[in-house]
Amino acid sequence: MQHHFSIDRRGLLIASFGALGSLALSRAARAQGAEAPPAHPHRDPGLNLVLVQLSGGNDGLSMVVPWADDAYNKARTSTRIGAGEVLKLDDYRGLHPELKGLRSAWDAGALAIVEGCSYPKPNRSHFQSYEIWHTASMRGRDAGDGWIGRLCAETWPTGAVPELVVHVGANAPYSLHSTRHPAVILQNPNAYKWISDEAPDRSLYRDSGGKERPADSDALRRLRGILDDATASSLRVRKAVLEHSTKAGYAEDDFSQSLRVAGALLGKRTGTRVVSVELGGFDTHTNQRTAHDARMRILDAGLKALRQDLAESGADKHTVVLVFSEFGRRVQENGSRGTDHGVAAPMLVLGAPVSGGLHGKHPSLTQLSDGDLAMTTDFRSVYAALAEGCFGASGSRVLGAQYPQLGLLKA
Amino acid sequence: MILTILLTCLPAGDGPLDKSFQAREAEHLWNRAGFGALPEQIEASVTVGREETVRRLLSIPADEQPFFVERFLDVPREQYKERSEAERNRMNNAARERERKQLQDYTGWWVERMQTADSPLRERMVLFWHGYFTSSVEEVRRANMLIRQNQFFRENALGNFRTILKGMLRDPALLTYLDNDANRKGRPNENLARELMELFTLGLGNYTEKDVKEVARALTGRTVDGQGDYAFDKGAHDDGAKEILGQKGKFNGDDVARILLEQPACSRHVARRLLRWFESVEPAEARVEAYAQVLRDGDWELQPFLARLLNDPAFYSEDVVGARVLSPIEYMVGISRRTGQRVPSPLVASASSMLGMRLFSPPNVKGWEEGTAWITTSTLMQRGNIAGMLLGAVRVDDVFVTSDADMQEMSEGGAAMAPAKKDPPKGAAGAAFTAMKRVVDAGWSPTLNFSARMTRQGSKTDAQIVDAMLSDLLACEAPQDTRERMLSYLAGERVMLGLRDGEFLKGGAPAERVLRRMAHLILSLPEAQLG
Repeated sequence: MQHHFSIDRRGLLIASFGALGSLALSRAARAQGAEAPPAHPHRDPGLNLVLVQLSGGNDGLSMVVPWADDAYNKARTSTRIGAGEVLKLDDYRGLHPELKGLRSAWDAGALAIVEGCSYPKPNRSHFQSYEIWHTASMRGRDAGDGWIGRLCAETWPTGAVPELVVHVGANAPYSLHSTRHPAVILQNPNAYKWISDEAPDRSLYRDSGGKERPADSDALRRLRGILDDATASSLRVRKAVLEHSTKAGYAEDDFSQSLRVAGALLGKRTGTRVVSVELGGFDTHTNQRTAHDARMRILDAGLKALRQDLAESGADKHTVVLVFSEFGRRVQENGSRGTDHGVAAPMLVLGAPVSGGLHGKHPSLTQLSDGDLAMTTDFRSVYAALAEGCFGASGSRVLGAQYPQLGLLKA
Repeated sequence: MILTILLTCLPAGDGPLDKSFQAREAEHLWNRAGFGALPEQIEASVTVGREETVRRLLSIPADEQPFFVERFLDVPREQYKERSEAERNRMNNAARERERKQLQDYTGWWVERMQTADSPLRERMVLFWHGYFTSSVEEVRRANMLIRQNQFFRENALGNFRTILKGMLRDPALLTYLDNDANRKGRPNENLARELMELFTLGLGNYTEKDVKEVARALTGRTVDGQGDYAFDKGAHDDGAKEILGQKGKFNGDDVARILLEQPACSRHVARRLLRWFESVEPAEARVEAYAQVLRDGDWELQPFLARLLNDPAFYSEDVVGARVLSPIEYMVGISRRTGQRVPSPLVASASSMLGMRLFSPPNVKGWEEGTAWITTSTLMQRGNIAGMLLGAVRVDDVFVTSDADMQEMSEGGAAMAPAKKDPPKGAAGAAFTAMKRVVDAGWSPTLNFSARMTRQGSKTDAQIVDAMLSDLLACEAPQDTRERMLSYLAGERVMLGLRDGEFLKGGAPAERVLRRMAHLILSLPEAQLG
């Protein structure tokens, strides 16, 4: 019961700050551990994390293009992005021509490109590879919770609002899977509610959860916990989104609309620290160029709007965006103007707290491993940098191993 | 001799006197081999016994007329070439619109089958194969291919896995979805080869990257012609020597099917997928192997597998009953099957899309993720809202837009808020909203009469009414604490109406309204998502 009381009290706190017209809660008040000190005292830098998953295996070579590499120009014909159209970053690499917003972030020193990311013994199955990315473990789901789930368990052993971690979209990635802090998942914020005109019905509904009640089965206990989280967060989430106003021009597509919710939750300081969104359509086995161009356009438009939105609310100073995919694609095209599943690809890390520029090492296009770009950076070094830099958590405790330091975030 | 015949006729422990097959077990069978059933169907099954019920479920012939499929893109190429670009665009757009409409009609027809067909097991297996050999309209685009694929599943739903696998390796929708139409000699496309082994036959760890490449070569040339039919392009087929899973030869697609079906991993993979689908708990390895053996012994026939499974005591164990998190389709079709109220199929289909399951549009080649993934903070509340809509307790507009009541709730304890803009929802939710609104605007309204139902069943007291409502609406038994909360809710509402315990059904329309609200609450419960 104490758990519920603290959530309610927190809700009241937020509501009363809102009523006072205060634009921002102090960082200390936002830190979720404030009510119940964590078992392992740590300094929480208080940064938020936005996870952007590009599903299907994004062709890294078409996002960060090695335009000056002969091997690239030889291997790629229908998907080649030539020197004339690429947004040059230096005399070797450039961004996809649609990534104009990311280009200006690069110019502002707010975009880090981590090159050659993958993991040892790469798996080319979408599903197995995603399990590895989501759990940061070669064992996938057998390892237990997702890496964000473990991060939260480490950082907030007790007492956090249910909307601490939010996925906006239909299916949450396994990274958010958590026995202790299951994520709030919603698609359309207006529809994030249970409807009844009758007070006794609403009250009975709210009382139908109760994870502490004895339940006949694990499944029921879990569902009752979800009902608790839903009824506790429904009003706060909708209110934040409704009250949030921004001049950022979010497009109408589902991806941009999901980032709009992210912008509202972070801008309104709801206690949300991790927001996850997804952009699909990257499994480009045939006629890749047109399809991938369109994906890049949608990605850039969404991220550009989010950046502006966060800048308006001031949350930009405390927010880091991570863009990743389950694998890159093969260097050689497959003959149907597309590419098959590959291995290493760049990750993008975006935001004011980021130490912009190149990180890691570009994989060789001539010394391939089984036709694929070989890993030069274990993606878990990026996770470690974010766990520590954003949340003050121990990377090795969250990930179960020590990974090389990358210096991704500003000190 | 006579004794043997007698024993065969009256197997011990089965038949009408079978204590191990009561209402709980019969309802479980109808939940898993169908989409739930009316109380009277469950009673009838208990009377005839488990084996007979299973026999009937397996042998009910398909009772429907086949859906007529048109091919709208069949504009003769010569004729098409002569037209101006504007005219061609117009023709293409018109064809696309007809295709979209045809798929929508077919989806409605299919959902109708799920709600009313005499052969629910067949409908359930069609749904299984739809999520197994996935193909999405997003990539395939042509409705007639997807409909013909579904009709193939319908014919073979309870047939033979070898036939299904071979059919799928010639299926225009699947070949398009997994890019095999672009898999050509010297320019292999590995998409189908990889998913064929990972998801359709062997499972990860039972093949190598080299096998993926070789199988891709063997599958070259299997393509789709301009009419949307299967075609073998001899010139595109790589007829060179290959080595697949240790076998060497100039293999083609049929050889691939043969080699894959020979692998013990294949029967285990299929058995595991079927066990998961029907039991919803991870099967033990020994059990997977036992059922894989049933598939092998039966030469891939599915009937013996299903007959054994549905008669297996383990299928009725504590761990299995009530452990399934209902998919959106199961949840909604279940409401219809358990109450006997048919819901307009477009409403079921669009609501299912909103809850994460758009038929003909699985999220990826692995199909929908079953189990707890269906229920999120958002879909749990939405399921309740949709149930409320089906019961007339929730207005369709309120589901998607911020209502005045919402505004008031949000303003409580704080400054008054500016009135909300009543924007219709965008994206996927917008499409579902439009479809649902169309059904409701066309004059559909719920016809359920709970008071009549309770009267018929002889339920009078609060306790009798609560028990009957919970038992009729839920797929499995409600926990005691839920029953107690419902009881005090009903008592509270009864007192408000000035009625005594035992007289509630004399309350007329207001009492019926309370029962509908109660049904809305029951179907919103975590318990209602399990079956």
